[in-house]
Amino acid sequence: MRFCGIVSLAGFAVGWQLLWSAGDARAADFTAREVTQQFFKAKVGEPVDFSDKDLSNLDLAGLDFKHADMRRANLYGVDLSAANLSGVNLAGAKLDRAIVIGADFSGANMEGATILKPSVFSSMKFDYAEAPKFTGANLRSIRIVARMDGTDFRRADLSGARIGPFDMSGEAGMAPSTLMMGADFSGANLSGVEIRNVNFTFGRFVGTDLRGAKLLNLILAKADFSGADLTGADVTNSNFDEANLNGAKGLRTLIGAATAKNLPSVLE
Amino acid sequence: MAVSNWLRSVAMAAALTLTAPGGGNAEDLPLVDTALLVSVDVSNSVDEHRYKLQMEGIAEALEDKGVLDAITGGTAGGILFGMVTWADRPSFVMPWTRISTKEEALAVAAKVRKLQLQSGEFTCMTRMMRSVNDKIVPQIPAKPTRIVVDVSGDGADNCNADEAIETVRDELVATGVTLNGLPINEGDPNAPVGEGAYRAPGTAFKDSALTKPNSAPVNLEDWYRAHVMGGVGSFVLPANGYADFGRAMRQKFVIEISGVAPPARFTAKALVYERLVEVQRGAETLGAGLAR
Repeated sequence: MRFCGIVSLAGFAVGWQLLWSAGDARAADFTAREVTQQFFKAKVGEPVDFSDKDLSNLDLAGLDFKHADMRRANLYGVDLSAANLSGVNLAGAKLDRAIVIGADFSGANMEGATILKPSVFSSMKFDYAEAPKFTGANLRSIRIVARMDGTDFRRADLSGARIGPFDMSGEAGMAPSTLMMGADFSGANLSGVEIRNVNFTFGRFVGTDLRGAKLLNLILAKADFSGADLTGADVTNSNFDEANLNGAKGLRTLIGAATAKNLPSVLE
Repeated sequence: MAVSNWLRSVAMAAALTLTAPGGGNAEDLPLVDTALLVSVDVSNSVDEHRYKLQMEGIAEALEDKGVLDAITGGTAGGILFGMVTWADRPSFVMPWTRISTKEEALAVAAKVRKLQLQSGEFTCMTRMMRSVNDKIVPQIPAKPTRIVVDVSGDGADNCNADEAIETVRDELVATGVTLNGLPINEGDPNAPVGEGAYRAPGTAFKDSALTKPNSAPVNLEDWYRAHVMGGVGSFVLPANGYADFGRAMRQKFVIEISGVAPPARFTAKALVYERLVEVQRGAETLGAGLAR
């Protein structure tokens, strides 16, 4: 890693973080040491209760959360690098600006949580080994604006989720689009999801439930939709260049197909 | 820094909690004589050769008969051993491992020799101490009689941390931790701290001889005595270059594990440093008097 590059990136990020957090400058309810001690003492079947607690900006990297109850917890800016959050209850939690490099959210309950502009990679280059995992997680109605290339969403429930920048002047900041290149949604439930302005090049949607999904202005080049169910999905202004739709269901029911790019060639 | 290396080492910390037997309630934990955490500088000045010398030195120390006797001769009959390497950020490269026999010591020594260099630029010692205080010490999976953090390196903190190193050091000491130092003097041991050091561009070297009013030198050993050393029975034992690291580490391990009092010459506080402060105060008093 070239540290100078990271320093400038970090400086930029910190600047934005300061802007974002200016109205929420209160200290966390616990220190990192206190949180560590509680996780360490937790016994199987007796998860630590941090629900509704403010743990913002703590360094919790590498910790095992041991299925903790983190409902509605404020995890703004928290460092969760390589942390084990599998099976953790994060319903309604705020993970905006968190550092989630290599974090494991497999099987976690993140219904209604928000992940806005997290740090997902330690440099500009993406590395599959650093991508967080959401395998089998409950991500219903989650709000995500993030670069999550190569991220594992297999078998996750994202029904009703809202992904990507919707309002360019607000929560999305300066991001022109959200990158989820190569992300894997195989076997996931994306029914009723609303996704806007996201680049899913090489994305995997094998057997994915996309019924009624709003897939608006997406780049789906070379994405794999084999066996996916797209019944009633809205694909307005999305680009299907060289996408694989073999065995995909509901293609005749697509909404906005006339405005989608490269869709006819895919269907031929 | 190699990304996968970094992630692997951070992940090691996650593995740590899994070693705790059924949760970490103090009454459930086994006794050990010493929990010894070896903390090694791997910043920009530490090349592959110097890194190998350090790992070899630590491994040989674990294989040393005097050290083995100290490990097995304690009342609890064993110690916990862990290792942190740090540059820009700390990595818990060897989670807490119990050593109570010669075979276990040799196995740990073999693991130490195989540890890959986690490269980095800066000497972020304060950040390392913060991580040790917040995440490593609270997860010691045993009840130790002593907790010793053994800090070695060839330079002072140059990371511009947002808190003073003494603040974190004192937090550790307040929880019963002893911090010992093993400064590695490369070249002239009397060279001022920070001279030629690689540090963040455009930033002054904090709290070194370079910022003292009389510009008198503070060498690395003095800096360690003033900023690192702390706690009951703490001491600083310098190595005369990387080639001398193994000898210093062996000597240090015996003192730390056996709990014997270190020689007085190692326990002295930063005499030169404190003398400088006295000189400065005297000069200020004299100046104030003359002004009146």
